[in-house]
Amino acid sequence: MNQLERRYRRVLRLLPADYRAVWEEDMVDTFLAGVEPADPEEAEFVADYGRPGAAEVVSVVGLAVRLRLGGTGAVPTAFARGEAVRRVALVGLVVHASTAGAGIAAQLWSPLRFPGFVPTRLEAGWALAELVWVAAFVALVLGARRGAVWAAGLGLGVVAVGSGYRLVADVGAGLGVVAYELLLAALPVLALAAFHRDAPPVRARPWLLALPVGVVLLSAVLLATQWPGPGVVLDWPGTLCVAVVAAIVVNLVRGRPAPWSGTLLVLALAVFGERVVTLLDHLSRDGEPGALAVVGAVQAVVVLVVAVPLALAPLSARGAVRADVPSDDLDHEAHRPGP
Amino acid sequence: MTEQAFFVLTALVGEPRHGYGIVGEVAELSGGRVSLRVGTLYGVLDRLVAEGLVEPDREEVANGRLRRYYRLTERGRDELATEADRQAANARAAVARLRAWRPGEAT
Repeated sequence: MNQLERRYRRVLRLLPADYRAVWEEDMVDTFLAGVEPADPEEAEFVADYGRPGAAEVVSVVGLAVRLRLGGTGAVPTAFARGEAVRRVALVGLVVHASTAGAGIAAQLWSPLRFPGFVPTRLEAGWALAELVWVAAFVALVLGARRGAVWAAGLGLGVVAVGSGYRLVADVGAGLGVVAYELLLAALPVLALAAFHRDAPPVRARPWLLALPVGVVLLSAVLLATQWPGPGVVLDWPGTLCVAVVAAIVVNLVRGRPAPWSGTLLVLALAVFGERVVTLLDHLSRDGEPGALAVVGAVQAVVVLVVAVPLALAPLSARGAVRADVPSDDLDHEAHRPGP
Repeated sequence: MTEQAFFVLTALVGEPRHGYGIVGEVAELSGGRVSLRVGTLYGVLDRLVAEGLVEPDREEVANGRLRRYYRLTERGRDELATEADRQAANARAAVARLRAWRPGEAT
């Protein structure tokens, strides 16, 4: 085996083992036949120093995503994994969209609540720019997946510009917090990869209903935490903690349906990270732990505690699926027709 | 049926081909417009095999490596014929409209 073949086989490791068992040798032959020059001297050079091109690697990555985050017709484990990731995308985008909607609502009510307050052009423009998340979410739910990817990419660009501004203007957030928040915003955008051609259509009605519900809930949180007001000690990471804990509890009560368990586990870990990073940033700035820090620490612990049963749930769910399918057939079911 | 699947099925009409043979044939059939990468080809091929439109024909050893040939099944031929008829009907409709259209007459 020459270096080029070794490198290509390394790329193919991205594919599931059962798929490789059927297709790897054939893929290697097709790849090498396509890149080996006819001239023996040149062929020797390519064999020693050649590498799979970016386009070849991307095509294998695309295939790996489709197989590992399965859609209709995939083996049950891959399908459950795909569904979990698709819901991460949907939940993440509905949170982005609801935040944008609540931002517009806040622009409308703030002058009434605080006489004399007029949003600057930048603030108003920013609130409007964030509506691109609403477009991304609605496009995804209605099946316009390419449009959803473009709009979500634009939304991420808006967040990135905001992050840069926050760092340059030094508005009270450290590099760690800003970088983590950017990663968190990117999570649902990356998860859109699970909406490939085999992904089943989204059930539009409940998700479309989730958007106005989210806007109302987030507006209520904004009203409750704005000063002067009821003075509820709840910042943005805290709001996410409360939301994810509530969702996990509802999921546990409903008997831990498998795709939601995976989705909520990912979201719980992401939110836990956000809470810890912001807490550390807060402590490094203020020194003395105030009420927000104490509440934040409690939130982090609660998220971690409720996430533990979730970490076990996907395993038990997977076991249940495997019990229904003959063990020999399960992993090869989708690829059975291979020779 | 995707364009890639359409060309892969078309490439297998008449004779079985191995992976690299399919890539070359598809490039020729499409006038170089469709260039299949290996990951893309096998993403299409595994689906066509799973749907029973294509099946393995034989295996040979070439340059010390396993080389697998694929052939079109009867069902694959029928599906391809149906799809080709559909595309031809679409094209005929478009061509008829274009021939009848005189720029400037539209209101």
